[in-house]
Order: sequence, then C-alpha cells, then structure tokens
Amino acid sequence: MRSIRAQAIVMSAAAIAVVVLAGMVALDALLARELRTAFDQSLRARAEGLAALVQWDGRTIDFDFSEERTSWVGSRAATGGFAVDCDRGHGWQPIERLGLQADASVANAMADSAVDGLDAGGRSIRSMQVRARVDAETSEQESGETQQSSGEEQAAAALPIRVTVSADRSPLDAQITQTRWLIISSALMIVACGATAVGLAIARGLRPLNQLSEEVAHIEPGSEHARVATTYLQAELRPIASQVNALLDRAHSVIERERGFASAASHEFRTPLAEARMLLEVALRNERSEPEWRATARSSLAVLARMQSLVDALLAAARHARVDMQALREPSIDACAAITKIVDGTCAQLGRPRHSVVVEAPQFVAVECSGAAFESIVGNLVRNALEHGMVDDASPVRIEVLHDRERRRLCISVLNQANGLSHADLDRMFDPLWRKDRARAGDGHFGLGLSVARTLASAFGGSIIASMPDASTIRVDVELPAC
Amino acid sequence: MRILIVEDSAILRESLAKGLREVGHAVDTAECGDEGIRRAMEAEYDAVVLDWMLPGQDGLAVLAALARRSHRPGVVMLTARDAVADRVRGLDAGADDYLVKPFAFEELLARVHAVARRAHGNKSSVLRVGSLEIDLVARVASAVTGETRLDLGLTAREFAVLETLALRKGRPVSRLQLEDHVYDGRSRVFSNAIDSAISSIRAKMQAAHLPGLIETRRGLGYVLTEPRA
Repeated sequence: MRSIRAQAIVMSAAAIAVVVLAGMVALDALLARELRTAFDQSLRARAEGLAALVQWDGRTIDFDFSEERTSWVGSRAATGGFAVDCDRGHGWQPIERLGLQADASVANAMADSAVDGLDAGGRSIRSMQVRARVDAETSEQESGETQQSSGEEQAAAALPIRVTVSADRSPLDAQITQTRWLIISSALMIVACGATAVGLAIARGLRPLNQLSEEVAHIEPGSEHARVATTYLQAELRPIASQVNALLDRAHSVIERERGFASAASHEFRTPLAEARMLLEVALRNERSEPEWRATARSSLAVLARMQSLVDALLAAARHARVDMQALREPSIDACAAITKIVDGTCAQLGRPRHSVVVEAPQFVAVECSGAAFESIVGNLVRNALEHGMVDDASPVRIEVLHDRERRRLCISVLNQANGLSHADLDRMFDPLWRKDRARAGDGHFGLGLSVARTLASAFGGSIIASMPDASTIRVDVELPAC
Repeated sequence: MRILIVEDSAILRESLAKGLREVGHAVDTAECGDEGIRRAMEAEYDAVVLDWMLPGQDGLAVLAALARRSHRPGVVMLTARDAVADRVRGLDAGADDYLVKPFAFEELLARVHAVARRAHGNKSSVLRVGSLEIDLVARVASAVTGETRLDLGLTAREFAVLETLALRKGRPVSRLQLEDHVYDGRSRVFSNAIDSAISSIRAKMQAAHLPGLIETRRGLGYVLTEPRA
C-alpha cells in the first residue's frame, strides 16, 4: 500500500493536472482565436486597401495595383495573392489577379469571413473576401454629360467589386503551435510545482505523526507506565494520542490484573510445594520402614491431588474468561426452576439439610443465559454462602428472586451471615484466589468461585455486586438479562 | 530444645515435627493461632516455627502474645508471602527470622537453632563449659584437651538434657523444666527419666575426665557450671 504522502501527491497532481488542462484548453482556444482574428484583420485591411485602389468613373475602371503587386510579389510571392472582381451587370468579371486562380480560393471565400484552403502548390493559405461598391468619380465636364446620360449609365454610378485576398497561414500556424507549447510547458511546470508543494506540505504535516509513531515505538513491555505526550501535538493528532494512551491504560490494567492473578496463583502453590518438599526431605533423612515410606507416598499423593485441583480450578477460571459466552446463550431458561434444582444439588453435595437455604421466587422467569453458566453462577454463590456464610441452622441462607419487567432483568439476591467479612472485603471478594481466611488453603477452596461467577455474569450482560445491609449480613445481588 | 510449630497445613506441620523430633528436639504442634497462643502461654519454648496465615488469629497475633512473655522464644516465620514489604512487616512484628515457602528442612533447622541460641543470649553454635564443648548444630558433646577431642557418646535424649542445661549455663534448671524441654506432649515420661539421664551424662563426663560440671542444687534442680579452680 502506498504511503499517505505518495497518495496525496498523486491525487493533488491529478487534480492540478485536470484544472490546468481545462485552463490550458480554454487559453489555447482563446489565444488561437485572437491570433486568427489579428491575422484576419490584416487580411481585411489588405483587401480594403485593394478595394480603395479601384476607381470608377461610370464607364471605365481605373486602378493601380503596381505598388501592391510589387510589395506582394516581394514579400509573399510564394504563397497567397489577391483577386479583384467587379460586376457591371454581367456577373463578376476579374479586374486583377495575382497568385489566385479564379476558381478555388475566390469561389470558396465568403464575404467578410476568412476561410482556410490550399493554394495551387498545395500549401495552406487563409483567404478573405471583401465586397464593396465603388462610387463613380466624374469630372465637371463629364458631370454635365453624365446628367444627360441614359438611365442605364446612371444605374452604373456605383460599381460592385469584390476583393479576395489570401495569405500563407504558416506564420499563424507556427505562432499558434508555439503558443500551445508554451502553455503545455507552463502547465507541466505548474503540475510539478504543485505536486512538489503538496508533497512538502504533507511531509511537514506528517512530521508530528512520525514523532508520535516513534514515541509509541519506544513504549516497551518494561515501560508500560509511559504515555504519549499530547501537549505538543496538533489538534488533529491529539485524539489519536489520547486513544493510544487510553489503550495503554487498558493494556496496563490487564497486565496488572494478569500479574496479580499469576502472582496469586504462584503463591497458592507455595504451601503444597513446601508440604511435598518437607515430606520427602524428612523421609530421606533417616532409614525408613516400608510402612513409613507408604505413609509418605500417600501424603505426597494427597498434596499432588490438591495441586491438581488447584491447576484444574485455575484452568477453568481461565477458560471462563476466554470463551465467548454470548455464543452459548440459550433463548430462555426457567430461572426459578433452575435455582431450586441448584440449591437441592448443592445442599446434597455439602451434606446440608435442604432448609439451610430459603428460596423466595416467582413461578417462572425466563433468563437469557447459558444453562451451564447460570448453574455455575448460582451454584458458586450458594456454595459460598453455605460453606462460609452460615453460622448456624437458625440463620439460613436466603435467596430472593425478582423479575424487573420494565428493565427486563432478573435479580437474584443471596443473603447470608457476614461471618467475619467487613465492608473492606466487599470489593476484593470477587478477585481471583481471594479468601478472607488465607489459611484455608488446605480445604480445597482456592477463592475462584466468586470470581468465576462474576466473569460469567458479565459475559452474559449481567453483573454481580456485594453489599452489607447490616454489620452481620452479606448480600450478593446478581442481575441477568430476562425476557 | 523444645520447639512449637504453629502451622495450619497438617502435612507440613507433621512433617516438620517429625524431622525436628528425629533431630532430638521436643516438638509441640498447633493448627491455628488460638491454639498456638494457648500452648505458648502454657509452656516455655526455645523456638517457635510460626506460619503467618492461620485460621482464627494469624501469626502476627501469636507474635504479639509471645512478646508478652518474660522469656520470649526465638521465632521463625513461615509464609508464602515473598514480597519485601511482607518480610519487613513480619520482622517488625517481632519475628527473629523469616522463611518463604517452600524451603529446605536443613535451612529451617539451622534457622531454628540460630534463633533459639540468640534467645538464650548465645551467639555461637558451639558452647564451652571448661573442657566440655557442645556443638549445637552437629549435636555432639566432646571433652577437649589440647588438640585431643573425645566424643562423650551421648544419646539424643542425653544431649537434649545437656543442651538445655548448657543454654542456661550457671542457672539452675528444675527437673520439670528439663522434662518440658526434652519431652514433648507426645512422649511418655517416667518419673526418674531426667535423673537417669543426668546420671548417665555425669558417668560419661567422668569417663572423659570432666567431673563436677553438673551440680545438683537441692530444691532448685540442676546447673551446669564452670569447673572450680
């Protein structure tokens, strides 16, 4: 792909060329017309001059073209000429001809307009014909006679003449060609200068963009706190720089989250690693009997099983964060029936009586979610509430389900005992691998359930927030799109 | 030496206890902060191996409770937290040493010995009483005469008794205190076990020409003293 600069230069050069071409054509036409007009005027002047040389006394025609002939022959002997004809009532009769045949140019010439043609030698000429009437010039003696003359003679007092002149048009053509080349070369220079000027202007205009590019290029993984300076940038580039900075902010936040997750995950492995190492190091310090080795092996396997569970939980959390959940959306799930089923199953799994969870729900609410995801979201919340938020049987976990028809949202609230949680924990309890009691590492809880629930709810356009309506109660509100 | 391990991971707790017992120490264990505080208040420990993250009261709370004791044992904190800020916080709270999980048993042992020594005001791991030399790391007691070094050949129990007396050199140690530092809660202690051990140590010292280093103070117990000139 060509650069912006190259594209702009080509486009501006094309635009200039079109404009210049149009101007050039117009200018060419204008100048050519002016040159022809000037040429024709000289022809007309010459024809009128010839006409003025014709004298008519009523009976005879007198003229003296010798000077004209001499100058014509002297200057334009090669091409062109003139013809003077008169009409005494018997059609046009030649008076004088020089260089012009009676037929071609004279016949083609139209009165008061110039025409192009070829002379006998095949050369280009331009001809013009001027028609005039020569008034009779009479002397005083002749005047009396004239007064006695017949009506026919009186009618011949004005003699119609036509003067046709032609000239070699090669000087005109040469001048037109020369002018045309001048225009073309000027146009090319204008296009070249225009394109160069546009190129320079664009190069100057793109300089800040190059600086911006270099600045962005210097932001490396180790310098993720660096941001693009926007103060020196032109107004057009500031939005780009701002968007780059916003992108860097988002990337930094993702990196920090992933670092935190990786760090937390690594810490989760420290205790089981320490357990495995101690088991084996202590076992190897002394001679052991076979039952002792067996016991060590069993303990080591238990540690490995917990590490495997942790790996599985981390992979599941990563998978939930990666999969496009919207593609798994099912048209409608009966949320109330699903919640009842999930509560029954969770109570059975944990060995808790069914009355440990009180569910208040309408008959039917259709939720837009994946069945598996809905089960995971609600299941994690119920399991969490039962395991960590139920102090005694007198304070069961409460689940309240509401259908907000106007907003088309399903609201599930899970209320349980705070059991040591405080307001400060509310923001962190959805973080991956967060546990209120960090020492609960060995009981199979890794602090991923609530994080997975929030990830899934967000993926389906919902949300999960936690609050404390009073000091002893935790309330987790889930909102999901409903029909 | 009597050591308390406060660790919520059962496997880690029992492995450490087993290893330390096999070295010859008396070891008690607690699985949560509350139990750790209770045990620390009930008995006198030379060293405490303390996990930071504990169910109930955490390691810092146990440290605070230990600080209220007249004789404060040396404390090695165990934790998965490896950030500098966490180490500083642990040490500022009163821990004598800090070990990040996972760790080597030998390293833990060396650190436990070191903090226990420092708790009794001894800088060196080799204690001398006259010609008697007690290597707390190698767990060997020897009679040193010039270039000659004669191992007394003490059993683990006898060495534990001698170690307890040596760490409190010049101060009488009652039979009950000796029992507390030599036997942990799991051991069955016979009434004459300490007396029997003392007799055996004295006999082995006599054989190595180190008589009279362990004196009996009536009504007070036993004391390890420098030989009279």
